Amino acid sequence: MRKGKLMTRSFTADADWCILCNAEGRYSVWPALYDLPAGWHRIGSPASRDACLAEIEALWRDPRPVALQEAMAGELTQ
Amino acid sequence: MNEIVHFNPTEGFALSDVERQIWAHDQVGELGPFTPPVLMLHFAPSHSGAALTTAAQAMIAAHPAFATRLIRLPGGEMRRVQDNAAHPVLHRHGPAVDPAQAAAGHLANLRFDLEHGPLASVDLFPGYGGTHVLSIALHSLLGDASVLDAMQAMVLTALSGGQVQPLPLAGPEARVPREVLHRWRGRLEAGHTIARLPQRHGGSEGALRLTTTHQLSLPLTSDAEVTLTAGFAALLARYSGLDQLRFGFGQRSVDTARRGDDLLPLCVDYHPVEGFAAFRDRITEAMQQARTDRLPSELLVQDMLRQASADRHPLGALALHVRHVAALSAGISCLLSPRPAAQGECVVLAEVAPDGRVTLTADHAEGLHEPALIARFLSHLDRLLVAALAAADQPLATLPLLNDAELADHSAPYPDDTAIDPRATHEIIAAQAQLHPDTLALICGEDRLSHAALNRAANQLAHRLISLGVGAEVPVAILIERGADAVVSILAAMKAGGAYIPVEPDHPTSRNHHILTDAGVQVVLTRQRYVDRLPDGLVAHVLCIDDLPPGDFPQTDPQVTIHPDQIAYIMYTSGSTGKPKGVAVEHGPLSSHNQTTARVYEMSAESRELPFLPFSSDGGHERWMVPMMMGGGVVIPDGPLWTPEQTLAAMRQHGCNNASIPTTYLQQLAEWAEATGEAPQMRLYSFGGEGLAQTTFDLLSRALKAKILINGYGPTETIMTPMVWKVTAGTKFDGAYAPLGRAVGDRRAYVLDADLMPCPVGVVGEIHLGGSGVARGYVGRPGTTADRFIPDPFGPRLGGPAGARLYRSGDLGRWREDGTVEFLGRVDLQVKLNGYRIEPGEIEAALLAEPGVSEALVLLRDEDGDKRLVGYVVAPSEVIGEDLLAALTAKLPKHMLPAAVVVLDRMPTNPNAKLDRAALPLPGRVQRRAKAEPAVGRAETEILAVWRAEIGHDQMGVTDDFFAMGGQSLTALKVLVRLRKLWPQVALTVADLFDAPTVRTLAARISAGNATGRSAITLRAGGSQPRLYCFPGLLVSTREYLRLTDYLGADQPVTGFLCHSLNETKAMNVSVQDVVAEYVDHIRAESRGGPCALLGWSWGGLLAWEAARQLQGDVDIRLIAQVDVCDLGRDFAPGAVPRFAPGERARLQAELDAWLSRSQMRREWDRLIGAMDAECYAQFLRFIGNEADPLPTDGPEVSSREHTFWVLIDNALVFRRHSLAPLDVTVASFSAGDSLSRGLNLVDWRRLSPRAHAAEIVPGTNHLHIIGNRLFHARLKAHMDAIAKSAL
Repeated sequence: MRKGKLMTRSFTADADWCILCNAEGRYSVWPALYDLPAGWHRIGSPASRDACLAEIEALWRDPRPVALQEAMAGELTQ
Repeated sequence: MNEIVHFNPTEGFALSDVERQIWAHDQVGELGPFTPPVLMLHFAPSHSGAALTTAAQAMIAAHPAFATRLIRLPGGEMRRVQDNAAHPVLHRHGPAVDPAQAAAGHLANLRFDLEHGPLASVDLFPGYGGTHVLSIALHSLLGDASVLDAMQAMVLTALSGGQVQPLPLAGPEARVPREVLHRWRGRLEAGHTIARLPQRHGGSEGALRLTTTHQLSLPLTSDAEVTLTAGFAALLARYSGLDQLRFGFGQRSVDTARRGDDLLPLCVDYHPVEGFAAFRDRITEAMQQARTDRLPSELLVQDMLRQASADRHPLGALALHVRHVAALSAGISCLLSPRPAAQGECVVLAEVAPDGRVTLTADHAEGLHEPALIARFLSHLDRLLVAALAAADQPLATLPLLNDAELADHSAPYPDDTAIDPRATHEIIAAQAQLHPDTLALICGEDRLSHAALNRAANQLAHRLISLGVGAEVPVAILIERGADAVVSILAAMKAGGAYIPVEPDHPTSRNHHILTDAGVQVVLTRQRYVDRLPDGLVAHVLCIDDLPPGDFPQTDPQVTIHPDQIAYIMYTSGSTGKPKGVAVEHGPLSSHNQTTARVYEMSAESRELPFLPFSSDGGHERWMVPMMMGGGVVIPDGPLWTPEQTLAAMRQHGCNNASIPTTYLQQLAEWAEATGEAPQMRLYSFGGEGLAQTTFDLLSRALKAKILINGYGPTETIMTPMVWKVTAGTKFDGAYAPLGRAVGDRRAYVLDADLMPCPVGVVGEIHLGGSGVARGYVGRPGTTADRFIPDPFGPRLGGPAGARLYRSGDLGRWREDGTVEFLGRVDLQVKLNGYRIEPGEIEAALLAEPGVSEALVLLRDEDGDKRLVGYVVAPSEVIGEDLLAALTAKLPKHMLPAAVVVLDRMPTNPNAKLDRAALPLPGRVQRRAKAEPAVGRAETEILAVWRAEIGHDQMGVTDDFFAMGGQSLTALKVLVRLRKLWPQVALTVADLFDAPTVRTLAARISAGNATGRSAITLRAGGSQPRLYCFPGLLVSTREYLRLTDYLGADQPVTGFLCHSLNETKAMNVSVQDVVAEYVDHIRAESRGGPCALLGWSWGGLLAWEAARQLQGDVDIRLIAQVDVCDLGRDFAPGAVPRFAPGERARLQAELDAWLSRSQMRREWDRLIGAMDAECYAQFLRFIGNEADPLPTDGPEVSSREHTFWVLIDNALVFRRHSLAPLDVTVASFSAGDSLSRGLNLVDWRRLSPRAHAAEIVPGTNHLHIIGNRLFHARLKAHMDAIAKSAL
């Protein structure tokens, strides 16, 4: 899912990326070279962007944000 | 200064290239980029007036500029002589309170005169407190910054008691070796693109310049020049998006006795990953190589301008000059220093003080750049350098340009401080059932639902859904057409806690089946008549709302807690490729979006909206939810295809005050409203879905009576309309499309480059949207979600929460000066041609703005590696592609012009009703497709054979147009020569080819024996303006005037005359009077007593002048337009004595004899040479001695080089005998920029008529191309319109 050739006067496109996850349990990818954006933590080791996305496909099983997961689990246990 | 006719031509010095260029500018009354250099120094009381006077006088005596006088040799050549009598007197002014102000006043009124003096002014202004200001001002021909630096040094030396050494003046630089020019060609043809800064929409480079200054925040104590140049280059790469770019960099003069500061092009390869240190090393090397091959830049400019397609700033549109300022001792300061020549669209001067402080001054064309953009550019250069020097290995692409304050400002949403109501959308709507129970919430066809009734119906259905297990995260499909039942069903699904999925019953079955199976739908709400459209084997409860199973469900609000993170709806997007993806949107951001949108739209319980958008788009849902949340109502069309008449009638009938309409439908609606005047008074229209061109927007403003117009934009992934542009009707905008505006609610809109760095204002990047107002992601596609929704690094820095995400839209845009975002097309449709990134959408919008064009598409076609932009338009058959192309030429930069525009009846489509790109025809590469009608009879056969051979088109037939098939002026001449041999008794001229441009019509004319023999061609017969007569240059036909005629328009009659030297009879040495006689007869017969205008181009200018003289009293000549008319020049001027080296004359004589013995035109040459007097013969020898190429022997055909050479010499003889007489007539004169650069001897018409003005300079073109230049056309048209007006 790389962008069209023109916008990729991009060195990050072919550089290493890493998988990031936030407190809500949402996943994304980020250039390994860049500082971590606030509120995100790194998962695993750097790889190509496509490889990171493929791993997320396997990793991110529950699309619900953590707060909703907890709220719904609480309802069930009630 | 009197002309000394018999001045010894070896005395003094020839002018250098740049001096000759300035001389030529001065002659036409326009100094252009060469503003006179000025130095102003301030002296504290410690320096006495007497000491300053002595020092200044020492400088005047020592610097050769002050002793310079210019003399004109016969024939116009100017030479520089040194004459101490020319020294300016140091002028001591009376004391002033503010001597600097007094000096400024003096300088403002200073006028130099190259021929009569003065050429310089040195002035001392005492202040009352014992201070002094010394000003030195020069004519630009005499000096520049380097010269003034030398003068300043002389003054300071003298002041400190030193001996001032006189500076000798040397001749101009030696000739540039051929291999140097060769190396430069190699550099300039290596694929680098001329870098530019973002320009105003539709802007053009006028004469007005503005300056902006910026103090660099850190000192550069070493390597300042290369550091600044590398920073400038890296910044330009970021601003222009170019990897291979070119700009100019300043060259200080070595010889400070005369003007010599110059500019050289610097070609830069930018690698985004490279660090500044490595980049600077490469820049250093490139600068050194360029300087090793230093040459007068005008040589390069002239070399490049030979191509008609050359850039108007061939060296570079942007330039950087770095100058080290000399240290001044205590008590002396510099108030004003000279600027570099304004050669370029934006010229940046970096002045480096002795302590390393750097002052940047940008001088830019006001017509092209916003001053704020230039100011930001300088501050970004500062920021880039600070970051680069602090981290010299960091990739250049990651050096931040924008700071957080700029980023916060550009990305900011519409201001809105109101607290967000935590309730979900349907909960707020339900509350309106209590507040406004009887207010109509929904009208659709026969259905009328009050808020109370709507709520009861939705509640009842919601309880039923809950009984079926609907709750949080459970998808409920709504397979019901847009209307009351759909709205009730949607509200019920949300009230039950489920996520609704709208499915349009009319949409293709395969698409709908995918939607119904993709998201794990558990309940389908539909109608009986749609049940057969459900996929086989669907595991879900199917509820038909028109046939509900028995069950008693309460009408009260269900007690369901909605978590802000749970899904409200899933909307399927129809991506251009692949299967539709379900976008899941959560309740929290949805409700927040709706609430803030209601405030932006200024909605209330009074609102009644007509939402025309379909329910398959999320915008369609916003437009019923928001009015209902405010207690207002909606009027939903009961069919998908209301006519404009029906829509306007419904608005009136139901008292609507808001309407939301897809952009595609808006045009029809507005056209209907304008035609019928049936539009009701409305408060607000909103629209969106597609780019909206200014013409359409103007139509809306005019025809739809609304106070507020809102352009909404938003990918489904960022919830409905995350950005809006809200304006009052009648607003004008710059740009191809209406702006997308600003973000709404808790969102920010960013324009980022491919490395996620924020783009400066004006720079194209991808639109990213961040904040809480984004979707959860794509249902069942975590990888795709992670790809499109990326971590937001900016939000937390700008006060937002940590952990937020950005959605990358795939749309290209740029920030505008007012902080709104402009849409430019899709990332995947962007094309790159000749190094430029091009947004086809921008060209399409320009095409759509032309009358008659209803659809436009621009593609990059690649034919055997030959890449060209091609425009396709749907328009009536009377719309001509070439006219559209001509219209674009005036509106778009050169690199965005399509190679061709193809007019179609309709766009070809494939079975899916999508555009079939493969079926779009390729335009003919050079020639149009021939009709190939075969010849009949001898005449047609013979003519056709000649045409085919000369045009080089084998397929040409007897009904194909000569010029349309590629025939040009020279081809026409060759054809005429051959035809005259076949039919010697018929006097064919180019006029016959114009009148009868096909083989068949010409054959008929020849057979009938009625060739015109005319020398006048009617280029346009009719029109109410005074007729324009065009006089030909040497060896050009009237064909060259066709584009001009087109431009001047249908109301401007134009006649062109054939060049007399193009006919076969080589009547020698005909006088100008005789050449003109035939033209004069024609004009007299056609326009006697009436108004007309004459246009002369090149040599034609002399003919026009002579014709005007003969026509005086017979016709009313309103205007003579003189286009780049040169005087005879030094070669053949009477009195110009040629110079020969010892023995050279004998050698040239032998050369001439040898050549003549080989020439086929011997007889003609002998006649011509026989007519020369001794002086002229000597000049002729000198002339052939100066020829770089061997003398031609390919005559006597009209198109041969030898014939051309003969005509030139013959004309010189004619001209030699001719003198231009003064005439009292209005003259508009135009000079090609290149002719001035070459220092051509252009005629100054102000010497010949009291009603002539200084020439208008047409930059970026040369003597040959000026006649087809659009800028020239526009200026001439202004003159023609003015004289037409004066006739009234």
